[in-house]
Amino acid sequence: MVLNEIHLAKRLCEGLRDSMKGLVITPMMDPERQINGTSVDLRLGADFKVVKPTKYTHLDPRLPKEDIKRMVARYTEEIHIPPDAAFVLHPSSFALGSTLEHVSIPADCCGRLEGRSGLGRMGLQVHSTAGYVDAGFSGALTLELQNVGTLPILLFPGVRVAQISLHLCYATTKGYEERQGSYSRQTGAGGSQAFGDVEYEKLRARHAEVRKRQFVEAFPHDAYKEIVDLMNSKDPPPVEALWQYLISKIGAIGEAPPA
Amino acid sequence: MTEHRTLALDLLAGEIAEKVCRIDTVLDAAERDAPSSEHQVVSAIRDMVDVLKHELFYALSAWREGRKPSRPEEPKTALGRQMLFADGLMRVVNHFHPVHLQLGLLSTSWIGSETQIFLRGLFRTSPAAIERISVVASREYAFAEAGLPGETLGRGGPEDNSGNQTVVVLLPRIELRNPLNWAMGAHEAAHAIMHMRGVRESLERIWSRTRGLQRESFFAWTQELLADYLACTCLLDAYPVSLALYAFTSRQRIDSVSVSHPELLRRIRDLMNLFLPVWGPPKLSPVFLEPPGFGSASLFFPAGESDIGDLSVLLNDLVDLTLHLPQTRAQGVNRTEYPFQTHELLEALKGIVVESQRDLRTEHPKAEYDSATRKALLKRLNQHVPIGSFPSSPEQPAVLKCQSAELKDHLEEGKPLTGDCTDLKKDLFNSIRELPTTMTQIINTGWHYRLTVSHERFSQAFLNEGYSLDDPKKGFLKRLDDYRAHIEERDKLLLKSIEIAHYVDVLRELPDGA
Repeated sequence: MVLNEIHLAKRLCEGLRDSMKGLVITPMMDPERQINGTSVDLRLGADFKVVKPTKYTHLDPRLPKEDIKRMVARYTEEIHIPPDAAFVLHPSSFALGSTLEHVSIPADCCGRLEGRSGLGRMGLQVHSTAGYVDAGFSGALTLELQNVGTLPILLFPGVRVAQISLHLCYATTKGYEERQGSYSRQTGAGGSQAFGDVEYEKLRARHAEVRKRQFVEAFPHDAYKEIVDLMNSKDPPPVEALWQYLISKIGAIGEAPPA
Repeated sequence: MTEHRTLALDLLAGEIAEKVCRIDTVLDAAERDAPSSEHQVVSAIRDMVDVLKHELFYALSAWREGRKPSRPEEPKTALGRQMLFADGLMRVVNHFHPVHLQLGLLSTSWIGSETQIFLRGLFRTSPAAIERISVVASREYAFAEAGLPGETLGRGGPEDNSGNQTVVVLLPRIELRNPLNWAMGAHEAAHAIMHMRGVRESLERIWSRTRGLQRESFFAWTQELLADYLACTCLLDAYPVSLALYAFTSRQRIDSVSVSHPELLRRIRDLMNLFLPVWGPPKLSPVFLEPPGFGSASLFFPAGESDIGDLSVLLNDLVDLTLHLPQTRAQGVNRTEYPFQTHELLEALKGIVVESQRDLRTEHPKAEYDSATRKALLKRLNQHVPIGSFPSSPEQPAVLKCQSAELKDHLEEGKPLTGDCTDLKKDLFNSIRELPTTMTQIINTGWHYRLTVSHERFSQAFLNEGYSLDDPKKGFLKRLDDYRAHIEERDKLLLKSIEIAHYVDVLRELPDGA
C-alpha cells in the first residue's frame, strides 16, 4: 500500500519525535508544495561526482580493496556547486548527485525514488536502475543523473528534481546498517561500493591464490640460484646487472597462463 | 578541580589527535586531486606524519598513566605528575607545526562554499560589503585576516568594480573542512566589520593621548579584544572554547606579547573578565570572575545544564593549565596590565561596540540557542541527522491533531476523509514545516557534540586501555584510523547542516509564485 499525504505527514510527525522510528525527510521547508498525493518531492544537493578520463582501461573488482578505492578516487572528480551556480549535465553524460534532504525510512516502509515529470520531459533521469530505497535506510539519497535529451540541462542545487513514494511492508527484523548498510549515513553523492560484495570477496581471494601460484611457478629459481653463485664468486658483476637479469626473468610471470 | 584539569588535558590530547588525523585527510585528498608530480611531496610528508604519529602514541601512552589518580598521601603532587606526563603532548604540538608548514607545498586545497556561507550567516545583517568573503588556505597553522585597506596592499584592499571590499580570511589548511574551528575565522571577519563601521578611526581618537609604542600596541590590542567580543557575541560558547584550544596548539607563545597582539592567555581571560560583564549580552555570572577553582557557574547556560559539567570552570582550567605547560614555563608569564581601568575609557569603548554591533543581530543571541533547542539539535546530531533545519512549531500539537476522530478513522481504518479537510491538512503540514537553524546553533551544537560524543569516543579508544602501536586489529594506528573516520563523519554532517541551513533560508524567502 502506498502512503497518501495524510499518512506521510503523520509519519513525518513521528520522525520529529524520534528520528530512529518515524519517517524523516529534512529539511521540510515547504510541506504544502513538497508533499504530493502519494509522494514527497526531494531537492537537489550541491555535491556531484563525475568520472574523469584516466589511464585506467577498466576496474577489475578482483584487485585488493585498497587498490580499487585508490583507483576509484583517481578517476572520480568531486564537484561542489556554490549557491546560485549550476551544474551542467550535457547530453548523454552521467553524474552522481545527491538529495539536499536527509531521508530516514522506518522499518515498516520501503521507498521508491522517481523523477519529476517536468524535468523528465527535458530528458533528465534521476536514477538508471537503483531507485529502490530499502527499509531502515538513513542518509542523503544518491541520484544517478543522466541527460538523455539533446540539450544541456542546468541543475541548480535546492531545486526539486525527484520524488519519493513510501510503500508499507512488514517490518524488517534487522536495521539497514546491520543487514548491509553500504550507503548508510552518507551526506552527499556516494560512489559505488559494489566491490565490497561477498561474491567479489570470494573472487578476490581466488584471484589472489591464482596469482600467487603463478608467481611461485614462474619464479626463476634457477636464475636466482645462478645470481647467488655469481654474487659469492671472487669477481661478482655489478649489482644493477644482476638485478636487471632477475627482473627480466620475473617479467614473464604476468604472461604465464593460469594454472 | 583535579577532575576538570584531567578533562582539560584530555581535551587537549583529543585536539592534537584530531589535528594529526586531519593532516592525513589533506594528504589523501592531495593524492587524489594533485598532479602526479606532487605525489613524491605527499610521500615525503607522509613520512613526517608517521614520525608524528609515533610521538603521539608515546605521548598518549604516558598521559594514560598520568591521568590515573595519584596516591592519597600525595595530593599536592597531582598537578606536577599530570604536567610531567602531559609534556609529551606539548612535544607533539611543537612538531605538528613544521609538518603543517609542508602542506603548503601542495597545490590543491579544496575550499568549499560552506565557509563563506558560515561567515556570511554569522554577520548576516551587516553591510552588504561583507557579502564578499574570500577564504584562503594559510601555510602556517594560524588564522588571519587580510585585504583590509592599509594593512596588506598599502593604500587599499582588493575591490571590485562597484567599490565593495573583499574580506579575505586565512584559515590553516587542515581547518578548511572543519567547521568547528571556523569560530576563529569569525574573529578575523569581525576585524573587517569593525573596519567597515569606522571603528579604527574611533579607536585612534581614544588612544591619541598616549604615545609611541604604547599607543600603537594599545590601539592594536583593543581591536583584537573587540574582535574577540564580537565573535563571542555571535558564537556564544563556541568561541571561547575554540580560542582556548587554539591557545594550546598555536605556534605563538601563549604568554608572548607583540605590538599587534596581546597574549592569547590574557585574551581569553579578559574576554571574560573585562568585556562581557561590562557590556553584555552575553552576560556572565559574577562567580565566573573568581579565580579558577572557586567558581562553579556556567559561562552562558545556567549552572548544571552544560553537558560536559561546568564549562566555565573547564575554560578557567584550560587557561590555568597553560601556565604550567612546558612552552610557557621557561620564561614565566608576563602579566601585562591593560589600560581599560578608567570609567571614561570603558564608556568610550562601549560606544564603539554598540556602533559595531548596530548591524549585527538585534535579538539576544542566547534566545536563539536555549537549552531545549540545544538538546533537540544534539539528539538529531547523535542520530546522524543534519541539523540545518528545525521544526517551526512544537511537535506535540501535530501529534494531537493526528488523534482527532476524523483523522484517526482515516489513519487507522482507511476511512475516506469527508467534507473539507483543508484546514486539518494545513495544520498538519504546518506542524512539520521546518525553519533554518542559525550558524550559531549549528556551531554550538557541533562543539557540544565534540565535547561529549567525540570526546567519549576518543577516551574509549586511547585513554582507557593499553594497546600496541601497530597491531592491525586493535593497535594505535588502527584506532587512529577509526577515530579519523568518526571526525570525518562529524565534519560532513556539520558541513551538510550549514548547506541545508543556507538553502532553507534562501528558498523560504522566495515569494509565492517566484
